[in-house]
Parts: sequence; C-alpha cells; structure tokens
Amino acid sequence: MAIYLVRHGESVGNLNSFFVGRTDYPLTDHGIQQARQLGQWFSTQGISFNTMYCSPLIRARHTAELIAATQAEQTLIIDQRMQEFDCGLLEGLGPEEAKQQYPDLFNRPLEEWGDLSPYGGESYDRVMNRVVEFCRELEQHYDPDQEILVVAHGGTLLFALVYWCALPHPRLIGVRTPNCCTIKLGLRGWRGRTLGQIEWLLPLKMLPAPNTT
Amino acid sequence: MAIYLVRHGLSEGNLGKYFQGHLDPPLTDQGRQQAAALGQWLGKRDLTISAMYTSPLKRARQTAEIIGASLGPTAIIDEPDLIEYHGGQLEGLTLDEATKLFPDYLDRPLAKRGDFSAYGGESYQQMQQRLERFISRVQSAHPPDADIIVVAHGGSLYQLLKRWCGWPTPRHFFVRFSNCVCLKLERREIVGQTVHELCWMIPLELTNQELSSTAREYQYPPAD
Repeated sequence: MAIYLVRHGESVGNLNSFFVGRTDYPLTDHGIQQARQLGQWFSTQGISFNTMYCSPLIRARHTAELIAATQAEQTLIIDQRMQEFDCGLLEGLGPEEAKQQYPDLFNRPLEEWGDLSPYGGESYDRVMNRVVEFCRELEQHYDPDQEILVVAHGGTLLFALVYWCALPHPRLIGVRTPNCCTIKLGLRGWRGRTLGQIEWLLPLKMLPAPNTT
Repeated sequence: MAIYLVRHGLSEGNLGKYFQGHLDPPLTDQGRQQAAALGQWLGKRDLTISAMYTSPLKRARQTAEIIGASLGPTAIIDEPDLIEYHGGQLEGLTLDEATKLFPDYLDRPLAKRGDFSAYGGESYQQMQQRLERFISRVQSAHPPDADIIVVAHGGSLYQLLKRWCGWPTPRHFFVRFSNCVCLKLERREIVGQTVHELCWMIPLELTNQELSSTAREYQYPPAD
C-alpha cells in the first residue's frame, strides 16, 4: 500500500500570517493553480487513488477536489482528525506580533514547539492522538494493492510521518512541507504493527517534466 | 547551508545482493549511468558546491567522481568516517545465507538493528561517534552559507539523516535509500539550536525511470 500525503495549496492565510490553524481561509488563485498542476501531474504519471481523504478545512478540501477532478474515482472522504492544530490565541498572528504578545513563545525548547496548549491551543498529545487514530484506521481497512491520497496540513501531516516513519517517536522531525508538496510512503506490516518508509518527498517546484530521461 | 546526500549507484555487490559493509566492489555499468544521470540533473540546477565529501569505498568514490564531472571544478574529499557499517561476519552474505548462519538475524528487536557488534562488526554507538566527528568537521570547515554534497551508503546516510532531522534523534527513521537517490537538507537556527530540514528527496524513479534501481543489501526493516 502506498500513501500519498499532500499539503494543501497556498491559502490566504499563508500570505498574511504565521499561525494558521482552524481559521478557514480559502485557497488563493495561485493555490488553485498549484492543486490543478499537481492533479495533472498525478494523472500523467498514471498515479490513481483508490481512496482519497481530506481535512474538512476549505484549503485542504478544495485542494483535494481539484486533484480528484483529474481522477477516475472522485469520491472524497472528509476526516475531522486530519484538520490542522487549533492554534488558540496565536491563531492569525504573524511572527512579530506573536513575539510581542507572548515573548516566551520562541524561547521554548525545540521539543515543546508542537505543543500550543500554553496559548489556549491544542496540546501535542491531543493532536498526536487524533492523527494516530486516523492512521490506524487507514492501516486496518486497506489492502496492499491500494493507493491512498491524504490531503491535509503541515502540522497534521508531520505527525502522521512521525507516527509511521520514526521510532521511537521523536518529538519533532525536520521535514519541510511547502504548499502542494507530496510525500510518498510505502507501508508494510512488521510484527503486528505497520511501518512506513518515505519513498520520495517532492515539492511542487521540483515536479519533474513529463520526459526527462 | 544546504547539504545534498547521495547514495552510490548500483554496485557489483548490490547485484549479488550481499551485505557489502566494508567490502569494496566497484560500480556496475548501470551504476555509472545512474551517477551520470544524477550528475546531469544536478548540473542543471546551478548549484555552487564548496566541496564533495565521499566515502573512500569504490562504489561511493566512483559515484562522486562521475557526479563531480558534471558540476565543474569541485574538490572531492575522501572521508573515512562516511564508510558503510562494518558488518563483521555478515559481510559478503546474502540475506538467505545470513539467516541460515544466524537464524535469529531477522528476529532482532528494532532496538538492536543498526548494531552489528554481535556479528563481530560495528556497534550502533561506534557508528554514531564517527558520524558525529564528520558532522563537526564539516561544520567547522565551511561558512554557514556553503553548500556541500555527501556521497555515501544506505547505512551511513541513514544515520546522518535521522541525526540531523529528528529531535531527539530517533533510533529509526524509515527512508528508502535507492541507488543514486538525492536528498536536500537545509540548515536552520531555531532557539539557538542548529537543526536541519529535509527539503526534498528525489529518487531516480522520478527523473529517469529506465535507470532506477532500489537494490539494497539489507533493509530496515527486512522486506519479509
């Protein structure tokens, strides 16, 4: 089974602020273009998905719809558990504003970066739990020949990567996920659990041209 | 600082599907073509590379030389600390042969993988220590804005990658190191700590399907 993790295209929130969690910004025109370009690339590569999931937030759902439009099977399953972190009081703030209002924010040790509970947002464990619950359900329902698309957010996709690919789970991994980048994971069973292996990480700007041999 | 990690091309040992470790088989013809294809691809990206570091083993060194030829004049520096795991008695054995000789080889818990001291090879700690040495040498040898290429092996690159990209460093970070896969890491300073982010990972299957190969003498975890 292969899973394609895709981050949503550029949203209005990406242009204006730093902490974008639950605020439901739409895609920009550029973001719409990005999602179309990625969908077309999947279809020219012959990559077709048996099942497609997306976060309920409009930036992810719209990205998924644009990709699905290039697929034979176009049904999307919306899953609440892959929606972005609730950023609490930080929601909508740019880095400078956030620093002024919460001077300690950027002085926390690295390992605390994924925890927004001190600012009224979601705790690390809460986000990790819902993402892991989603991942486990995926593992149980699908067979090895299937290809699955998951369109979500920078934060929740990183947590899915931590769960599947790193042991023991580190608190943070440094994997950059620009808008509409794709991470292909191979999944396989090993001693009663499922492990994922990163096969490629492809930002949109690195999309290979159709014939580059 | 950007760091490009490159695994060597298809070697004679990959073809024979044996554990290569410190054994020193050369590249195959296909391996040379893979390196040339990656070199051309990197050559088109207008990189300014301060230095290439390579494991001195033939399969890595030859890969580095072929890539270097596409990049203009670039120093290629032998770095013994990048050499592959010493696999002790496992070296030269296929997975089948290894499991016949050591029936519990595949049954080791995940926490024992990457440690070959039970077979007369290198321990996990020894590997970590020499890669740590490599990291500090590289960091003191180059200004923060210099870009470098590191050509090495599935095992040693794997250890470097997870040391750089995970906090705290995980024991495992499952990534498929196919022949001539290229990964770009970028250095960043956050709260006074140096961290690295994986920016992209492009295997040959995305740029040149005809030449791609996923040959590896061992897998994390084993395929079966």
